[in-house]
Amino acid sequence: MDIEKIKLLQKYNPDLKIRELKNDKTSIFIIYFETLCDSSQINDFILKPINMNIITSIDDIKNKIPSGNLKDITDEKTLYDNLYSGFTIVCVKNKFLSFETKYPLDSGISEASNEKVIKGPKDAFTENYQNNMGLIRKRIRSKDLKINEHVIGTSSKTKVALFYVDGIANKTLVDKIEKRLKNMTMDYVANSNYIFENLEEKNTMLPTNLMTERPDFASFHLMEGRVVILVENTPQVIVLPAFFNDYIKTIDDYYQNSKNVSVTRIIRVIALIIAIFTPAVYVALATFNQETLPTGVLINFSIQRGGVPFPTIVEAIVMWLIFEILREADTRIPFVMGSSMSIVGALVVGQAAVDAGMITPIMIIIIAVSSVASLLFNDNDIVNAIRIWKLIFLLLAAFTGLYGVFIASLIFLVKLCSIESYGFDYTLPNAPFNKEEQKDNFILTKKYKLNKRNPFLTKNIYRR
Amino acid sequence: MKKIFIILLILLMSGCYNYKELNQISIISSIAIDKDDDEYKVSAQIMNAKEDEESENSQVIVYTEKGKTINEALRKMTLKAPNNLYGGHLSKLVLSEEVAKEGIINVLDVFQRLTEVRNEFTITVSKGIDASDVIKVMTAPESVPAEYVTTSLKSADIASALTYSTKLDEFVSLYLKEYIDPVIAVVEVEDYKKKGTTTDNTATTDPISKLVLGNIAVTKDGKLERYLTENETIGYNFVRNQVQEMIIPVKCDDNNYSSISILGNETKTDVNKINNKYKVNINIKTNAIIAEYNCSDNLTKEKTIKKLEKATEKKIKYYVDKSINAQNETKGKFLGIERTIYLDYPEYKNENFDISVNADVNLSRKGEIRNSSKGAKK
Repeated sequence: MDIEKIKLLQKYNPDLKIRELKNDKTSIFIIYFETLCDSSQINDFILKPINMNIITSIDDIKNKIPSGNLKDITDEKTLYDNLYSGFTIVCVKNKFLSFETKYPLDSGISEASNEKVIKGPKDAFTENYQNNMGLIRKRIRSKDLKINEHVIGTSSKTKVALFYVDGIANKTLVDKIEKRLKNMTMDYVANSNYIFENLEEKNTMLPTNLMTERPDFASFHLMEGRVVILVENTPQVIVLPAFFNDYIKTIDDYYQNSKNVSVTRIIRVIALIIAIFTPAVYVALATFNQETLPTGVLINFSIQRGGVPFPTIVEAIVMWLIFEILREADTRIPFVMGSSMSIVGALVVGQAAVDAGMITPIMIIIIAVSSVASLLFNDNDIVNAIRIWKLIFLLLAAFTGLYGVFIASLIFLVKLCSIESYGFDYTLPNAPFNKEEQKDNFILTKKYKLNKRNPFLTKNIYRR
Repeated sequence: MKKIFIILLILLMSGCYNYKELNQISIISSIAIDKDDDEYKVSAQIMNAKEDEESENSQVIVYTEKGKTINEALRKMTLKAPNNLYGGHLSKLVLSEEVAKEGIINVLDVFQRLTEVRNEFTITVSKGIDASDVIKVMTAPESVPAEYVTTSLKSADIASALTYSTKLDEFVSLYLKEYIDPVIAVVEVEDYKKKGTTTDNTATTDPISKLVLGNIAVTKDGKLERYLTENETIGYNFVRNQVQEMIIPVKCDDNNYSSISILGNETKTDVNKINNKYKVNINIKTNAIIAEYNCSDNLTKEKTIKKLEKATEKKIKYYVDKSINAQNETKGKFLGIERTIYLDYPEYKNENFDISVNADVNLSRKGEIRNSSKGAKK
């Protein structure tokens, strides 16, 4: 236990404040995290009494400071535990005392609006950098949580903090991202998106990071050995690296019965397949491979098609486009005007187009099912990636039928496997296959059985 | 850039090969073939015609055309039909008696060569009526008559053992195999009238003309040989191990009958060669229950059950004997017994066949009757 040792911590904890008060006999150190502690409490109940009295030893402080929650600290572990939990440490002649000065961080923190959970914490990151840092530190109270702070943007001078848990996070990954952050030259950082687009080696359609507004999600991934980047003035933090399978998981999964979650995850996988394949397979079957449909279905389709003037592919693309326009409009439109949107969408586009004989009812069903299925994923990037792949599948199907769907699937697989997420294979843990990781893949095992971390991400694989 | 070029190449070089819109094809559900002088008279039933612009229902239309070959007639038909004919969903082929007697296999050749056509449509022969009239009759429960025939054939096949539907691939494979001949299903029309081809036929509870499934017809050398009677058909299904469910009426005293319902049946045929003579054993193992009992005997007595079992066994033996007699009459091989011998003893040649099979078929039968509840009264 040495004050010099604590001073070293400052390197990785920029919010750690060490204040030295000198009087003629001795010097007193006040150590605290400004992100966790209430500075007015420290002023009123620690600094003022110290200034007004002559302090020579630790016992003087014990007697003079009017605090109810005060502890002697005898070993290093309690020191760190207290420090990282929002206590203020007072040090005189290498003797330590701790005072509780926790700052109520939850005030001003609102509910997560984009990533809803049914059970579980509701708090979300805000635009406040200090608050956001505290929200993560509140969850990981360990000295192993390291924060490297950078200032990026020649004009904006935006603070960018790189979080990782020492001993769990992959050192090469941390160094790699650290290096890239250091070399980043930018004039202005408006959003966390500015940072990760510069971090990526290759711009891929499928996202290689997770953007989240949930501190529990960020902390969960920190403990998995991933790296979190917090950008000032942005309520979304970046979690790196991300794999394709991460998009079928949500943090909500870990707050619910694992058996039920397994079903939900399988539904998400099915939804992903439906979202990409349905329009393409329908067009292929209706214009090329009619023999594969059951007779009753074929007659039904054929009767519906009678009188519709456009080829099936034109119908499909028009409907796809209309849906995408509606979705984009729905995102941008102010909340109060939302109901007029749904009337236009449902009545004009749906019912009227069918009644006018411009679009077949089955095509509306196909596009609706496929679109709704793609909205299951709360990451906007993956929804948009699915949208583009849907169109590629559709076009290939329109030219060559089921054969084209097959070619498109191959292209999709090759693309998927060739993506590298910050040096890791994007298709982990399916390719390369890892048996241990299948416990938390499509099927989720009970939490107490999840005792190992992803061995590709970290060398420290044992959770307990 | 290179990738985009390759994708464009795939898209544009394909030239939309095989592209056909659903509203530009006429889906053929069944084809009927008659002989008119020395030309084929081919009729095709189209099932996706719309009644009118607003209608949600499909209408069935039959086009007829003559030609020296079947393909020629089909091509000529495009003059009459609004769209291209599409055979991918052909589910039934009706041959007239005349065509079937001339040679079924000649007719089937064209359907095997057409790539579009599925090879699992049912082959039927129309008994006592032109084949084209069969596909013109309107049917009530299924809007498409071809579907009506295939579904009712399937259910009759499963539930009664009174008929058997042969698909194209099965017909051809049995035809090509040694020592076995395929059979085909028979369709008949009760009271064929012109009115029966209109929607009037479906608007009443008692249709004017009715499509009726007959028993089966046996072939020899790819030609229609003979129609089987009901008993012979049941016997055929027993020998070929095709009985799934059926009802056997069994006499239980002098005037009254009881029904034995078969739940499962397994027929095993084994062959022994003793003293250069082939001995064929057909072992039929049947699981059955009593479905109906109109006699006064006490069913709780084991003796009564045993008696019923014996009577059922006798009845099944009777069916099988009938079918063997029918085979001997035609000198055909539709029962496939010769094939069983051939598979066990490849040296088997036709010369022994007549004598050995006729003399040595030995039927042993074991019956199990479960679930009998009647006869609590003592």
